[in-house]
Amino acid sequence: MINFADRQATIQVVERLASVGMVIASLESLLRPQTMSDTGLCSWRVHQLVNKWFINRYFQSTIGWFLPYPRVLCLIVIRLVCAATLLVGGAGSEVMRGALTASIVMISFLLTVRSTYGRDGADQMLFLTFTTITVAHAFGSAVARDLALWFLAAQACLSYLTAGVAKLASPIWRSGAALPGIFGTDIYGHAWVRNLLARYPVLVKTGSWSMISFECVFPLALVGVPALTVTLIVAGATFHVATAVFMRLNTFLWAFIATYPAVLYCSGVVRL
Amino acid sequence: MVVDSLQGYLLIGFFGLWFALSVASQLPTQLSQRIQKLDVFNMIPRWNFFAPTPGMYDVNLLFRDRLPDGALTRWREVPRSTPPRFINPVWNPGRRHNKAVFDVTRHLADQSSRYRDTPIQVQLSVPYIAILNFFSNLSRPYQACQTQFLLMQSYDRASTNEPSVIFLSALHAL
Repeated sequence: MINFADRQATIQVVERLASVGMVIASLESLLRPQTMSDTGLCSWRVHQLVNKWFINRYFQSTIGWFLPYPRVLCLIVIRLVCAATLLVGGAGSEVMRGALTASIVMISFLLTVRSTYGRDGADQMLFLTFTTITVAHAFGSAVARDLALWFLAAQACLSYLTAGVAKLASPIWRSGAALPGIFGTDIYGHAWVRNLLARYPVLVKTGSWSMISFECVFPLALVGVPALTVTLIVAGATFHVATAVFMRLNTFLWAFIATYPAVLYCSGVVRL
Repeated sequence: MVVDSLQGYLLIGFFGLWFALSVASQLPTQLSQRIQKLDVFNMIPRWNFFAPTPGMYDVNLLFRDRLPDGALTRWREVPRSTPPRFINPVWNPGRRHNKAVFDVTRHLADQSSRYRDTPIQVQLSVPYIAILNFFSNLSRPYQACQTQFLLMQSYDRASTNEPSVIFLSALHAL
């Protein structure tokens, strides 16, 4: 049983859930490094042309020193070790946990500087979560932890609301055409879902409007009605499990459910 | 939560500014575009997943080469990363390469429409060079002296949409 009235315990749960996502993301990058190599789409030899600062001699001898392939893989190994340590609870003191989360933030930041190709919403949310937790650890006060949790909860609500409103404003989503279109692709699609949607057209609009409705109402999780909060959290977790299974968005699951303890804390749900 | 210290006010300012910029960045306004332009380190999130217009197509990477005798090979497609497997809900290492293909293609298409009248600008852009670098380094079972790449979009077999060209490059020396 987790006590979500305890801000320190809540931050630890956020940290561990986000660490699962970070461990998976790091291992995936290490075991499929070709994309980051000099011959891959995220080659640093090419991407340093993005900004004139990146080819500056001072930058190249400092931050830029870490970014060429295969040296950059060492950074990912360090990030993996930091996330794994947080996940298994290997960092006892808050100072140690702060150092580990700060390392994860710095390395994730460097990887974003290196190339934004291939970066997705899960990476954005994990970066935001670890930065927020690092600030909470750095100040170590109750106020810092409270503000960090409120900020995370607010970003979670903003993410769902933005996605929901953007879909609501889109004729493709309102008509239901988006779902069969997405599930028909190789990159995010799924043959079983595509066939199901083709066989039962009623599911197309129902699915589309269910997603729009869920995303638009998610911020109500913060109004302080425990039953509503828990319902939305369960719906959100189910949604992310479904996108992991059918769209293979595996790290989205961990990145987004990592924010749920913050939502529970801010909405006043004490235990789950 | 009672904030009565300098530290508290500083943190409210920090998180408040970050959240305000995040909110402003979600709206389709000029301010949002300005924030994205200044946000070179991608600190400000954008949360409009698959909306308003979702990607309902796949990107196909094709290339052909000019051989030393001047002949052109047929177009060949670079296979996508590992096809979906049952383990993908927890482990999907190919996702980053597939997303990179999608991102670099969209970036190149943007550059192409932006510099419609000055194709040399497109050829000097990062997405163009990144894709050319990728194709130039593919291993070939023959000797080639030039290469050309083609980015296409294709749809589900059930769709009535025909595959279409997103971008066709010039021929470049290998």
